[in-house]
Amino acid sequence: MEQILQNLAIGIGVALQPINLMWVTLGGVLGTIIGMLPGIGPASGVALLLPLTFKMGPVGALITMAGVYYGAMYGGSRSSILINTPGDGAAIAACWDGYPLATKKKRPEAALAISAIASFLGGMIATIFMVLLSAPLAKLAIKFGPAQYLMLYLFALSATASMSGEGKVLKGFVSMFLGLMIATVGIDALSGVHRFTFGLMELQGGIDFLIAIIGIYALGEVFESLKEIGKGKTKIQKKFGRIWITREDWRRIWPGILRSTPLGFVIGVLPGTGATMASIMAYNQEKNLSKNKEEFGEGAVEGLAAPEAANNAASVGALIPMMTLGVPGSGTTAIMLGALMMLGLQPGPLLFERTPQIAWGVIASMFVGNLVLAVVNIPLAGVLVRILSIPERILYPLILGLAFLGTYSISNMTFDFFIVIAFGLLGLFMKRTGFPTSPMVLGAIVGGAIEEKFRQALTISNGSYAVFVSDPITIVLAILTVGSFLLPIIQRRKKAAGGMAGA
Amino acid sequence: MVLTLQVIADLFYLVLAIAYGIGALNLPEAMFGDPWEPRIYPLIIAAGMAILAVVLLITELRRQQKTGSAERAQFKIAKEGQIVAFVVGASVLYTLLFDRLGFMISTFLFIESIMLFISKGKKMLWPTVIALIFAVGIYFSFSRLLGITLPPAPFLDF
Repeated sequence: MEQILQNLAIGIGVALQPINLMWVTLGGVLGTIIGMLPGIGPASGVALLLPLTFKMGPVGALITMAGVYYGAMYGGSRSSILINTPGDGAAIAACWDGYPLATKKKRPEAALAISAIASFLGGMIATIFMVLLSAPLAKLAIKFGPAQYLMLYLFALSATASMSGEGKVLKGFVSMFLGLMIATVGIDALSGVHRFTFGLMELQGGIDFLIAIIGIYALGEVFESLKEIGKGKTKIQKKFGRIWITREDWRRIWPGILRSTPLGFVIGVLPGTGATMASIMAYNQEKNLSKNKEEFGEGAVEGLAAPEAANNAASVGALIPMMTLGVPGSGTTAIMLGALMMLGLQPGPLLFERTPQIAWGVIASMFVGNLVLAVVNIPLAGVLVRILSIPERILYPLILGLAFLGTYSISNMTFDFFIVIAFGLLGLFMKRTGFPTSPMVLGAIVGGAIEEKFRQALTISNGSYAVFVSDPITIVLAILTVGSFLLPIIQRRKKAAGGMAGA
Repeated sequence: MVLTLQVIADLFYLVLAIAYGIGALNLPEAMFGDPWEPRIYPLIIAAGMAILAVVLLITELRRQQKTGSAERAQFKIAKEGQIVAFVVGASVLYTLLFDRLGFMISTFLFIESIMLFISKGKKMLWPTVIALIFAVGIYFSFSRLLGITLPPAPFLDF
């Protein structure tokens, strides 16, 4: 405990440096804006803002990207509440009661304040959990060898693929294999063999996954959103009274916030599940526990607060495996990992051991960041939501411009523009045919590491595959991996069988 | 078998997996170490994907048989398709002109053309001003503040 407080003190020292205060504010505000705008979420936001982080150094970059991530959780609900369109996936639950609260009950100020307060408390409490949990996890992970890492990666991938939604498990795995495929393009680092480069010099270094992601997310999402253009837009309210809540509201929301925060946090830490699932589960939990269920969907304050606390807690939780183990469990954290590796920083247990000022500086910055975001999202909410009135015909072309700009600043090659375009179309095709994209993104990012660990482990074991189930850690991870694949399938069978029996 | 969009997608992944597997088999041998080593991992991926694609294909065909309903995939050149096609075309052109015309001019043309297309040419004053500010503003802020050099305009001195 003493050790943790000491480390936290170092972290606070780093986080309070003026330059880092500036980065966390910048990240939080940009994140809020990105979260608000329908069509771009935190994943594409981090990818698009990447060029900005080049000059910041690793601490600044990580602080800014984390700020974008949890800032987006604050921002997403602004558009849910005001225009009934979630700014990103995790804000979907905020539509269900936030929009009725703002329109039917004519209390938009309360809705904006409740979601921001819930986000703030969820984020703060989850950061305290993170402080307590990070060091022990990093200590455990330091003992991991290649076989343990491989199994951990496989579990993260398998969980992400199998969480793709009902009837989409197999599609999730196809998408995962596609990502792993992409990662094999280029010169094989261990043998020097050119793989799948088609004789193109530009492909020798491999397909940069950050560029693939810009294509999938930024272009793919713009393509998807373009069809909505011209459908007419809800007029957004620009004048507000005092954005705050009543004593009665507070009495009703705080138990739900305290219940949803640990729930969201745990869901965030687990790979595959993310902020979206956390908010939906928190909403259902609150509805089940509530005495006045009939008010849910009609503007219940509890129904808005619970999912908002949960998705912020989940976004904090999701950073833990990425930072302590170097294993991302979601699209956004995968991109952050990729970006950090590009900046020459390898997240993982050694991050805490060798550079505690970076690891703890980032964690401490999240306390500061949540305070900043509370200010940005409560007193300044009225100013910020004006961004929602930017017409799409201006917004989307600019996002496209930013996507190509980001690509060029990563690689300095216009050849990669073709890769962005190709992946944009692939993303659209996948969405149309119901193949989820996040398993692919995750696969593309950790694919290289998976193959490396796979071959290292086999070299160490002299080619014996038994190394992958040789100790308790690998066995547990293997069981979890197989379980995460089989569970949704068994559940579906059961459901189908139950349906038959009922009929 | 009706060629639904779903069938097309499943076939696409199946063909991709097979092509990738054949590519993996034909990889040159490693100069040192186990000559098969660079192939094993890609082959596992190819096999996994091919199996899943076949399962998906069979599931979809069975569903078609059972329900008898299947909507043939139509490549609708609807409004949406037009926009996507236009953006892709503009993007390819942008790629080709990026180094030749420099960042500012090519980016302005790229963004302006898409804005024009979406707005159907109406009310273009503000979009044009914003596209101009974007192209010029980014160019200077990136080269001066972030140290990222973007291709300069060919006949201007900056």
